[in-house]
Amino acid sequence: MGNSLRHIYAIATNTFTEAIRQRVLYVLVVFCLVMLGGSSFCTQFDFRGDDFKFMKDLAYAGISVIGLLVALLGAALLIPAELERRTIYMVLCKPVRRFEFIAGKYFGLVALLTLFVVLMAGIFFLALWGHESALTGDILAASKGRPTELQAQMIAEYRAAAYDPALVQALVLLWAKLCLVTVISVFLSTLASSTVFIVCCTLLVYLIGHLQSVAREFWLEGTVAAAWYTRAFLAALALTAPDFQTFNLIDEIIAGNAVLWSNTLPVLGYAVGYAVVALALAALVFEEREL
Amino acid sequence: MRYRLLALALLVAWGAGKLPWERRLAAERQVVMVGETLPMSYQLRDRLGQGLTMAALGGFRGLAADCLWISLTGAWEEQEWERVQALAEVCVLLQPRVVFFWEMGAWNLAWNASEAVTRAPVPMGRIDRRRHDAMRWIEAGRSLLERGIRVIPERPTLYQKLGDLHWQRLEDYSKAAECYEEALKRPGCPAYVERFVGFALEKAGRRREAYDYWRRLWGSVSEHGVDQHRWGVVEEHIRDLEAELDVPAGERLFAPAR
Repeated sequence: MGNSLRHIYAIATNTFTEAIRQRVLYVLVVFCLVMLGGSSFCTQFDFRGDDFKFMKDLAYAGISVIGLLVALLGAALLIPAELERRTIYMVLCKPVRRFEFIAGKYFGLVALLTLFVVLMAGIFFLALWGHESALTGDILAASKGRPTELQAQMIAEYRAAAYDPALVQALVLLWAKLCLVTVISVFLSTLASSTVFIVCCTLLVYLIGHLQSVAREFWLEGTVAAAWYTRAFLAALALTAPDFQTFNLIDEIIAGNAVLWSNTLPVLGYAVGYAVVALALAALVFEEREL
Repeated sequence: MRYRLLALALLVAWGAGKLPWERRLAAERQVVMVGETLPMSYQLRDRLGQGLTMAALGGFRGLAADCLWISLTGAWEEQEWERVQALAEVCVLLQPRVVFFWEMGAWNLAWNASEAVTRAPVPMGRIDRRRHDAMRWIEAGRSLLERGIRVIPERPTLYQKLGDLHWQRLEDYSKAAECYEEALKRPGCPAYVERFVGFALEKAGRRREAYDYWRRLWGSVSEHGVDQHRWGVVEEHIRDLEAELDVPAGERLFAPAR
């Protein structure tokens, strides 16, 4: 057990180092930083009453898209590259088991994803802080430090919206969702060796995952008559694809609505459960793969 | 082959096990995102285009709603009120728990649209048409606010806005007072709304009730120095009503000015 953990840790560290050296990731980071930094300039839209809404929505969408690309490219580039460069033999000829290799790759990518999410969140919180300071500073300057009842209420609302601790809760959920996408990408990379194929398939699973709940309800409720093959297809989707709609709580949190941790933790539990099963599936498939 | 069969068995077992879990999570999510009578996906499918539906379902509902709202602002500038209404409806459908969309959607309909049609040129002898059109938009705004209140009953803003609508657009001051009182029951309601109840009751001609309300408000605190409550205004109204209602000197809160 101890050996296994050491192997996984070594492979994860190596994967992280290797991934961090990929130039495409730097391009994504720069793109995201520009997007997050620039989001504060997009707050002049007519969102009276909630000056931070567009900024938050844009930032979370940005983190989501860039995180998705990092998850996709990370898994799709690294594992097939190991096969293509035949460096995988160097690893597997040592007393390293295949499931350790897969787990190490996955945790390395999770570490990369965590770094990205933390970095992007840090920039976003800085942008939020800057925008809040500018808004409240304007009010305080206009009122010469003695805000009226309405101005005091506006300042309180700005601060509540900008320093909402629930934003961290949304980030945790977003991170969990991205980790789930990563594990799917890792699983697919054990089946195929083409990067394009893995990226396309993972994207498809991502899209299907957002429609999985529709398929599930359609299949389980059976209120609409459908041919047996349609029902079989829906059943296959419902049984295999993850339900990404579960993570829609993120929208509610960003919108400033109270979402309890008791609602969030089961979703995180679901993500962990799915990741464990997908990782086990990846290990089983990889075990029989001819290298 | 053995491992692949094992993987398949694991997948099927996991699939069967996760279904009830996913349904429970969906039910919990439904409770958090109240106001969805139908599953969100069906409502959206009916109203949105395919691309936007995918975006909405793909975890970008917030951004999609924001972009639609920006588009609504364009429609507002062009005074395309039907489009404003349609876009507002989609925004509240995408993010039903965002107060802003309900509040500003209703403001656009009940204030902007109704004012615009009131000023629009109409054929001779069809002046009543303007009134009819204006009322239609006011009712659309009211409907939006009332639906919003059903979705977000714990926030004071929509009650306050509905009170404004009854006051300013429908001139139903009694109803406005009721709405302001409902707003005051919710945490986070601005302090000035407590004065609006008294003003509305006075405007409704319910002088005695207004007087009782002002007295209750005055008696609700022992210290009357806090500026944001504008106790001076409250005192002025109590004095005026005591004079107007001819309240006996012994029952008065303030001695009449000499």
